[in-house]
Amino acid sequence: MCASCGCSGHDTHPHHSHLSASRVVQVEQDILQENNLLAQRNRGFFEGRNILALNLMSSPGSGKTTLLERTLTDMAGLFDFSVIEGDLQTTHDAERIHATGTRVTQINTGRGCHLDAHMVHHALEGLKPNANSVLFIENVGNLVCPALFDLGEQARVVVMSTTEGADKPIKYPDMFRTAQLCLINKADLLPYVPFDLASARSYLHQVNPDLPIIIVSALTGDGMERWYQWLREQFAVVEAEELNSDQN
Amino acid sequence: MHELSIVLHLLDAAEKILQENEADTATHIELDIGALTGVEPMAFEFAWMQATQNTRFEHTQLVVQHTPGWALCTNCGHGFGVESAFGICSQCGNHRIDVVAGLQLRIKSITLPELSSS
Repeated sequence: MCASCGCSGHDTHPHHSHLSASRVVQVEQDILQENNLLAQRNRGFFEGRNILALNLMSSPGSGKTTLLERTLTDMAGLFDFSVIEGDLQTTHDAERIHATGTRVTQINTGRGCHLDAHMVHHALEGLKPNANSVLFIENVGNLVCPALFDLGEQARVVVMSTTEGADKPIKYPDMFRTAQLCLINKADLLPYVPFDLASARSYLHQVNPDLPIIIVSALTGDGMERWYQWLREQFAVVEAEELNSDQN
Repeated sequence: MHELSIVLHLLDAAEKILQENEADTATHIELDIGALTGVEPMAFEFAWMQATQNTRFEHTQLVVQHTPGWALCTNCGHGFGVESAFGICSQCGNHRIDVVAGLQLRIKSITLPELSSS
Protein backbone atom coordinates (compact mmCIF):
# COMPACT_ATOMS: atom_id res chain seq x y z
CA MET A 1 0.00 0.00 0.00
CA CYS A 2 1.19 3.49 -0.75
CA ALA A 3 2.33 5.22 2.42
CA SER A 4 1.35 8.69 1.26
CA CYS A 5 -2.25 8.07 0.33
CA GLY A 6 -3.16 4.49 1.10
CA CYS A 7 -3.96 3.51 -2.49
CA SER A 8 -3.14 0.09 -3.87
CA GLY A 9 0.13 1.28 -5.34
CA HIS A 10 -0.64 0.53 -8.95
CA ASP A 11 -2.19 3.82 -9.87
CA THR A 12 -0.56 7.05 -10.96
CA HIS A 13 -1.83 10.12 -9.18
CA PRO A 14 -1.38 13.75 -9.97
CA HIS A 15 0.54 14.15 -6.70
CA HIS A 16 2.88 11.20 -6.96
CA SER A 17 3.54 8.09 -8.95
CA HIS A 18 4.42 4.55 -8.08
CA LEU A 19 7.41 3.85 -10.25
CA SER A 20 9.43 1.13 -8.69
CA ALA A 21 12.13 2.42 -6.39
CA SER A 22 12.16 5.84 -7.95
CA ARG A 23 13.37 8.64 -5.72
CA VAL A 24 11.17 11.65 -5.13
CA VAL A 25 13.06 14.80 -4.26
CA GLN A 26 10.86 17.33 -2.48
CA VAL A 27 11.99 20.62 -3.99
CA GLU A 28 9.44 23.28 -2.99
CA GLN A 29 11.29 26.15 -4.60
CA ASP A 30 10.27 29.01 -6.82
CA ILE A 31 10.93 28.31 -10.49
CA LEU A 32 12.56 31.76 -10.67
CA GLN A 33 14.55 31.29 -7.46
CA GLU A 34 17.92 31.65 -9.20
CA ASN A 35 16.82 34.96 -10.71
CA ASN A 36 15.43 36.17 -7.38
CA LEU A 37 18.69 35.39 -5.56
CA LEU A 38 20.76 37.23 -8.18
CA ALA A 39 18.33 40.15 -8.03
CA GLN A 40 18.97 40.36 -4.29
CA ARG A 41 22.72 40.49 -4.96
CA ASN A 42 22.17 43.36 -7.38
CA ARG A 43 19.96 45.08 -4.81
CA GLY A 44 22.69 44.72 -2.19
CA PHE A 45 25.19 46.25 -4.61
CA PHE A 46 22.87 49.22 -5.23
CA GLU A 47 22.20 49.72 -1.52
CA GLY A 48 25.87 49.48 -0.64
CA ARG A 49 26.80 52.11 -3.20
CA ASN A 50 23.80 54.33 -2.61
CA ILE A 51 22.53 53.91 -6.16
CA LEU A 52 18.92 54.53 -7.09
CA ALA A 53 18.16 51.81 -9.67
CA LEU A 54 14.93 52.14 -11.64
CA ASN A 55 13.47 49.49 -13.92
CA LEU A 56 11.70 51.23 -16.81
CA MET A 57 9.09 49.09 -18.53
CA SER A 58 6.45 49.55 -21.21
CA SER A 59 5.17 48.17 -24.48
CA PRO A 60 7.32 48.90 -27.55
CA GLY A 61 7.03 52.45 -28.83
CA SER A 62 5.70 54.18 -25.71
CA GLY A 63 8.65 56.57 -25.76
CA LYS A 64 10.93 55.20 -23.02
CA THR A 65 14.14 56.16 -24.81
CA THR A 66 12.86 59.64 -25.70
CA LEU A 67 11.82 60.08 -22.07
CA LEU A 68 15.30 59.08 -20.96
CA GLU A 69 17.02 61.36 -23.48
CA ARG A 70 15.05 64.35 -22.23
CA THR A 71 15.53 63.42 -18.57
CA LEU A 72 19.29 62.93 -18.96
CA THR A 73 19.61 66.26 -20.79
CA ASP A 74 17.39 68.28 -18.45
CA MET A 75 18.90 66.81 -15.28
CA ALA A 76 22.51 66.77 -16.48
CA GLY A 77 24.77 67.98 -13.68
CA LEU A 78 22.11 67.45 -11.01
CA PHE A 79 22.55 63.69 -10.81
CA ASP A 80 25.25 61.29 -11.85
CA PHE A 81 23.39 59.03 -14.31
CA SER A 82 24.12 55.74 -16.03
CA VAL A 83 21.87 53.62 -18.22
CA ILE A 84 21.47 49.95 -19.09
CA GLU A 85 19.59 49.50 -22.37
CA GLY A 86 17.77 46.24 -23.05
CA ASP A 87 16.73 45.38 -26.60
CA LEU A 88 16.43 42.24 -28.66
CA GLN A 89 18.72 43.63 -31.36
CA THR A 90 20.76 46.71 -32.29
CA THR A 91 22.60 49.35 -30.27
CA HIS A 92 20.40 52.19 -31.56
CA ASP A 93 19.02 53.06 -28.14
CA ALA A 94 22.44 52.97 -26.49
CA GLU A 95 23.74 55.33 -29.20
CA ARG A 96 20.92 57.77 -28.50
CA ILE A 97 21.69 57.70 -24.79
CA HIS A 98 25.43 57.97 -25.45
CA ALA A 99 24.76 61.12 -27.46
CA THR A 100 23.47 62.81 -24.28
CA GLY A 101 26.89 62.26 -22.69
CA THR A 102 25.65 59.57 -20.30
CA ARG A 103 27.47 56.32 -19.59
CA VAL A 104 25.48 53.50 -21.11
CA THR A 105 25.74 49.80 -21.81
CA GLN A 106 23.56 47.82 -24.19
CA ILE A 107 22.25 44.33 -23.52
CA ASN A 108 20.98 42.49 -26.60
CA THR A 109 18.78 39.68 -25.46
CA GLY A 110 18.64 38.04 -28.90
CA ARG A 111 15.29 36.32 -28.80
CA GLY A 112 14.78 36.94 -25.08
CA CYS A 113 11.71 39.03 -24.36
CA HIS A 114 12.89 40.52 -21.04
CA LEU A 115 15.95 41.39 -19.00
CA ASP A 116 16.81 39.18 -16.05
CA ALA A 117 18.93 39.70 -12.96
CA HIS A 118 21.83 37.74 -14.45
CA MET A 119 22.08 40.01 -17.51
CA VAL A 120 21.94 43.10 -15.30
CA HIS A 121 24.60 41.62 -13.01
CA HIS A 122 26.99 41.28 -15.96
CA ALA A 123 26.10 44.69 -17.35
CA LEU A 124 26.96 46.23 -13.96
CA GLU A 125 30.43 44.66 -14.07
CA GLY A 126 31.15 46.57 -17.27
CA LEU A 127 29.24 49.76 -16.53
CA LYS A 128 30.52 50.19 -12.96
CA PRO A 129 28.00 52.86 -11.93
CA ASN A 130 29.40 55.41 -9.47
CA ALA A 131 28.33 55.57 -5.87
CA ASN A 132 25.55 58.12 -5.17
CA SER A 133 24.17 57.87 -8.67
CA VAL A 134 20.96 57.07 -10.53
CA LEU A 135 20.81 54.01 -12.79
CA PHE A 136 18.05 53.62 -15.36
CA ILE A 137 17.48 50.10 -16.63
CA GLU A 138 15.39 50.34 -19.80
CA ASN A 139 13.78 46.93 -20.13
CA VAL A 140 12.78 45.24 -23.39
CA GLY A 141 9.52 46.71 -24.70
CA ASN A 142 6.99 44.16 -23.50
CA LEU A 143 4.20 44.38 -20.93
CA VAL A 144 4.16 40.68 -20.01
CA CYS A 145 7.47 38.96 -19.34
CA PRO A 146 9.51 41.75 -17.70
CA ALA A 147 6.95 41.93 -14.89
CA LEU A 148 7.97 38.46 -13.68
CA PHE A 149 11.67 39.18 -13.37
CA ASP A 150 13.10 41.07 -10.43
CA LEU A 151 16.32 42.82 -11.47
CA GLY A 152 17.17 44.16 -8.02
CA GLU A 153 15.72 47.61 -8.74
CA GLN A 154 14.42 49.89 -5.99
CA ALA A 155 11.39 50.87 -8.02
CA ARG A 156 9.54 49.97 -11.19
CA VAL A 157 8.35 52.70 -13.49
CA VAL A 158 5.82 51.69 -16.11
CA VAL A 159 5.30 53.96 -19.10
CA MET A 160 1.98 54.07 -20.94
CA SER A 161 1.29 56.36 -23.87
CA THR A 162 -1.77 58.10 -25.24
CA THR A 163 -1.54 56.20 -28.54
CA GLU A 164 -2.26 52.94 -26.70
CA GLY A 165 -5.57 51.71 -25.34
CA ALA A 166 -6.52 53.13 -21.96
CA ASP A 167 -7.34 49.61 -20.81
CA LYS A 168 -3.72 48.39 -20.92
CA PRO A 169 -3.59 48.19 -17.09
CA ILE A 170 -6.36 45.60 -16.87
CA LYS A 171 -5.06 43.68 -19.91
CA TYR A 172 -1.57 43.42 -18.42
CA PRO A 173 -2.32 43.63 -14.70
CA ASP A 174 0.96 42.13 -13.45
CA MET A 175 3.00 44.90 -14.99
CA PHE A 176 0.85 47.66 -13.50
CA ARG A 177 0.21 45.89 -10.18
CA THR A 178 3.93 45.63 -9.41
CA ALA A 179 4.87 49.19 -10.48
CA GLN A 180 5.65 52.08 -8.11
CA LEU A 181 4.98 54.80 -10.66
CA CYS A 182 3.09 55.11 -13.93
CA LEU A 183 4.04 57.75 -16.48
CA ILE A 184 1.50 58.47 -19.21
CA ASN A 185 3.58 59.77 -22.09
CA LYS A 186 2.73 61.58 -25.36
CA ALA A 187 0.37 63.99 -23.61
CA ASP A 188 0.93 66.39 -26.55
CA LEU A 189 -1.18 64.01 -28.69
CA LEU A 190 -4.19 64.06 -26.34
CA PRO A 191 -6.18 66.50 -28.55
CA TYR A 192 -5.78 64.18 -31.55
CA VAL A 193 -6.27 60.67 -30.17
CA PRO A 194 -9.29 59.01 -28.55
CA PHE A 195 -7.31 58.18 -25.38
CA ASP A 196 -9.50 58.79 -22.33
CA LEU A 197 -7.40 59.91 -19.36
CA ALA A 198 -10.18 59.40 -16.83
CA SER A 199 -10.70 55.76 -17.80
CA ALA A 200 -6.93 55.17 -17.86
CA ARG A 201 -6.71 56.47 -14.29
CA SER A 202 -9.67 54.36 -13.24
CA TYR A 203 -8.19 51.17 -14.78
CA LEU A 204 -4.80 51.90 -13.21
CA HIS A 205 -6.31 52.32 -9.76
CA GLN A 206 -8.42 49.17 -10.12
CA VAL A 207 -5.21 47.19 -10.52
CA ASN A 208 -3.02 49.24 -8.19
CA PRO A 209 -5.06 51.57 -5.94
CA ASP A 210 -2.09 53.62 -4.68
CA LEU A 211 -0.12 53.96 -7.92
CA PRO A 212 1.04 57.54 -8.52
CA ILE A 213 0.35 58.72 -12.10
CA ILE A 214 2.23 61.49 -13.88
CA ILE A 215 1.14 62.78 -17.29
CA VAL A 216 4.07 63.87 -19.42
CA SER A 217 5.17 64.69 -22.92
CA ALA A 218 8.79 63.68 -23.36
CA LEU A 219 8.67 65.50 -26.70
CA THR A 220 7.54 68.95 -25.52
CA GLY A 221 8.67 68.62 -21.91
CA ASP A 222 5.20 69.19 -20.45
CA GLY A 223 4.75 67.57 -17.04
CA MET A 224 8.36 66.46 -16.88
CA GLU A 225 9.04 68.60 -13.80
CA ARG A 226 6.72 66.36 -11.76
CA TRP A 227 8.67 63.29 -12.88
CA TYR A 228 11.93 65.01 -11.90
CA GLN A 229 10.40 65.80 -8.52
CA TRP A 230 9.53 62.11 -8.10
CA LEU A 231 13.15 61.22 -8.97
CA ARG A 232 14.48 63.68 -6.38
CA GLU A 233 12.16 62.21 -3.74
CA GLN A 234 13.23 58.63 -4.54
CA PHE A 235 16.88 59.61 -4.43
CA ALA A 236 16.33 61.31 -1.09
CA VAL A 237 14.93 58.03 0.26
CA VAL A 238 18.04 56.15 -0.89
CA GLU A 239 20.27 58.78 0.72
CA ALA A 240 18.29 58.72 3.97
CA GLU A 241 18.62 54.95 4.15
CA GLU A 242 22.36 55.27 3.84
CA LEU A 243 22.47 57.91 6.59
CA ASN A 244 20.47 55.60 8.83
CA SER A 245 22.74 52.65 8.18
CA ASP A 246 25.80 54.86 8.85
CA GLN A 247 24.41 55.88 12.21
CA ASN A 248 23.62 52.32 13.25
CA MET B 1 6.22 33.90 -24.87
CA HIS B 2 6.57 34.22 -21.14
CA GLU B 3 5.79 30.50 -20.92
CA LEU B 4 9.06 29.77 -22.73
CA SER B 5 11.01 31.99 -20.32
CA ILE B 6 9.53 30.13 -17.40
CA VAL B 7 10.28 26.75 -18.98
CA LEU B 8 13.91 27.77 -19.56
CA HIS B 9 14.29 28.83 -15.93
CA LEU B 10 12.61 25.62 -14.84
CA LEU B 11 15.10 23.58 -16.88
CA ASP B 12 18.06 25.42 -15.30
CA ALA B 13 16.68 24.75 -11.82
CA ALA B 14 15.93 21.10 -12.64
CA GLU B 15 19.42 20.63 -14.08
CA LYS B 16 20.90 21.80 -10.77
CA ILE B 17 18.69 19.46 -8.77
CA LEU B 18 19.74 16.52 -10.97
CA GLN B 19 23.40 17.41 -10.40
CA GLU B 20 22.91 17.62 -6.65
CA ASN B 21 21.30 14.19 -6.69
CA GLU B 22 23.71 12.69 -9.21
CA ALA B 23 20.92 11.75 -11.56
CA ASP B 24 20.91 11.81 -15.37
CA THR B 25 17.25 12.51 -15.87
CA ALA B 26 13.93 12.86 -14.11
CA THR B 27 10.83 10.79 -14.70
CA HIS B 28 8.41 13.42 -13.37
CA ILE B 29 8.51 17.07 -12.42
CA GLU B 30 5.66 18.27 -10.27
CA LEU B 31 4.81 21.97 -10.49
CA ASP B 32 2.40 24.33 -8.82
CA ILE B 33 1.45 27.08 -11.27
CA GLY B 34 -0.99 29.52 -9.77
CA ALA B 35 -4.10 30.30 -11.80
CA LEU B 36 -3.34 34.06 -11.63
CA THR B 37 0.15 33.85 -13.14
CA GLY B 38 -1.23 34.21 -16.64
CA VAL B 39 0.57 31.06 -17.71
CA GLU B 40 -1.43 29.35 -20.47
CA PRO B 41 -1.33 25.58 -19.90
CA MET B 42 -1.30 24.81 -23.66
CA ALA B 43 1.46 27.32 -24.39
CA PHE B 44 3.42 26.05 -21.41
CA GLU B 45 3.18 22.46 -22.57
CA PHE B 46 4.20 23.46 -26.09
CA ALA B 47 7.18 25.46 -24.78
CA TRP B 48 8.17 22.49 -22.60
CA MET B 49 8.07 20.08 -25.56
CA GLN B 50 10.12 22.42 -27.73
CA ALA B 51 12.68 23.22 -25.06
CA THR B 52 13.25 19.64 -23.98
CA GLN B 53 13.68 18.11 -27.44
CA ASN B 54 16.92 16.17 -27.61
CA THR B 55 17.73 16.93 -23.98
CA ARG B 56 17.85 14.77 -20.89
CA PHE B 57 14.32 15.93 -20.08
CA GLU B 58 12.81 14.76 -23.37
CA HIS B 59 10.89 11.94 -21.70
CA THR B 60 10.21 13.67 -18.39
CA GLN B 61 6.54 14.01 -17.59
CA LEU B 62 5.23 17.28 -16.23
CA VAL B 63 2.59 17.07 -13.53
CA VAL B 64 1.07 20.51 -13.16
CA GLN B 65 -1.21 21.59 -10.37
CA HIS B 66 -3.06 24.87 -10.92
CA THR B 67 -3.81 26.48 -7.57
CA PRO B 68 -6.82 28.78 -7.81
CA GLY B 69 -6.58 32.42 -6.78
CA TRP B 70 -7.45 33.39 -3.23
CA ALA B 71 -7.39 36.86 -1.70
CA LEU B 72 -7.89 38.46 1.69
CA CYS B 73 -9.50 41.87 2.06
CA THR B 74 -7.12 44.34 3.74
CA ASN B 75 -10.12 46.13 5.22
CA CYS B 76 -12.44 43.45 6.63
CA GLY B 77 -10.25 40.36 6.42
CA HIS B 78 -12.79 38.46 4.31
CA GLY B 79 -11.26 35.63 2.26
CA PHE B 80 -12.59 34.97 -1.25
CA GLY B 81 -11.73 33.35 -4.57
CA VAL B 82 -10.37 35.62 -7.32
CA GLU B 83 -9.84 35.12 -11.02
CA SER B 84 -7.34 37.93 -11.43
CA ALA B 85 -4.73 39.48 -9.17
CA PHE B 86 -6.89 42.54 -8.61
CA GLY B 87 -10.52 42.96 -7.73
CA ILE B 88 -12.89 44.09 -5.05
CA CYS B 89 -13.77 42.43 -1.78
CA SER B 90 -16.97 40.45 -2.25
CA GLN B 91 -18.07 41.46 1.26
CA CYS B 92 -17.22 45.15 1.76
CA GLY B 93 -16.31 46.36 -1.77
CA ASN B 94 -12.78 47.45 -0.81
CA HIS B 95 -10.26 47.67 -3.71
CA ARG B 96 -7.20 46.87 -1.62
CA ILE B 97 -6.94 43.12 -1.60
CA ASP B 98 -4.04 40.90 -0.70
CA VAL B 99 -3.64 37.94 -3.06
CA VAL B 100 -2.43 35.03 -0.93
CA ALA B 101 -2.63 32.18 -3.46
CA GLY B 102 -2.60 31.81 -7.22
CA LEU B 103 0.55 33.77 -8.08
CA GLN B 104 3.06 31.04 -7.31
CA LEU B 105 5.38 29.37 -9.80
CA ARG B 106 6.84 26.51 -7.80
CA ILE B 107 8.67 23.28 -8.36
CA LYS B 108 7.12 20.93 -5.83
CA SER B 109 9.05 17.74 -6.45
CA ILE B 110 11.23 15.96 -8.93
CA THR B 111 11.10 12.19 -9.32
CA LEU B 112 14.36 10.57 -10.28
CA PRO B 113 14.70 7.14 -11.82
CA GLU B 114 15.92 4.20 -9.79
CA LEU B 115 19.61 4.34 -8.96
CA SER B 116 21.38 1.90 -11.21
CA SER B 117 23.53 -0.45 -9.15
CA SER B 118 26.79 -1.18 -10.85
